[in-house]
Amino acid sequence: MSRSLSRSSRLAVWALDHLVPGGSDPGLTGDVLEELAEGRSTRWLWGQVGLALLSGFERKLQCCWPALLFALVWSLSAPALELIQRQNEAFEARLWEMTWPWSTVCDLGYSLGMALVFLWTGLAICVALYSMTTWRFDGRRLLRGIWLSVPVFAAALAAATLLVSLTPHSWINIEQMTYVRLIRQPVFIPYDAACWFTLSVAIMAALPRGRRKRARTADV
Amino acid sequence: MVLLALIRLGDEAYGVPVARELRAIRGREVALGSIYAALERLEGKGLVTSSLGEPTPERGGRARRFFRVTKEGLRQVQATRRALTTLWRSLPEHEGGKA
Repeated sequence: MSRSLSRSSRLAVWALDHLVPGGSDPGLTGDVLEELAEGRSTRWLWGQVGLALLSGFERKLQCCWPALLFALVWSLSAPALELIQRQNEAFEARLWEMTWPWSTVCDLGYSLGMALVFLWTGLAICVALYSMTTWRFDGRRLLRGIWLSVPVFAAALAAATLLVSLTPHSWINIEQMTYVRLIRQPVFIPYDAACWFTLSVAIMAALPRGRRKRARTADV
Repeated sequence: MVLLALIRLGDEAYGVPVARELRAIRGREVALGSIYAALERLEGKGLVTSSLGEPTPERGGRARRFFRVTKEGLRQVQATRRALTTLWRSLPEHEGGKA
């Protein structure tokens, strides 16, 4: 059956199996494939996948809102990274002494590394708090969250940078600013949003699955 | 509505027939994902139970998940019917007949 599926349909089924938050139901995928075999279009299939994803996110929001709130609060402290980086100006100056393109690559890597360490610290605190309150921990899912945060943050950061570059704004001198004034700067909002989005995705991927009652296999 | 569809379908109640039943009643398309989300909530409340059938090749090797209404679910359906009947009976009559 799967051999006769088009590439687009195979991709849709893969998305249904792997991207639905909280895990997909094999019954749902089977039902979708059964309808497809009976003449449904690929467009219908993608509609079902989209709605299943939305439904999955809605369920996740209902159960994970404290974690998402934590991600929001943690992300608000993201501008502090700028202040920390400014304190290491000597190190950054050494990076810029390198020949191009290594100077740019290393500086970018340094900034990204700092941001990822910041996000992983938030993720670790959130998972630790969750584990302490529920006595549940899944190391494989934590690793999944850490791994997933890298491409998601790269994409979110690129989108934030593009948004900031397209929006007119005035440059700010962060050295003369207090932290409270710094986090109020509108220019940081897209970067905070990128951090929040990444941390939310990572937390949702890292927290142990809900105790969904698995159906027993019956002779039907 | 989902519980009523399950009762009507009996032992053959899995995603596809439930979606068709609801489509026939509502007159419009119902997403399979929404049905599963609703059934999962009902299962969480103890109104529905589910069991997996055997995987079949026409479903890409995936099993059917059959749903069944529990005794508590049947009680809830009866209670809802009684409440709705009472509400309908308490409506004032219009000139052209009952409301």
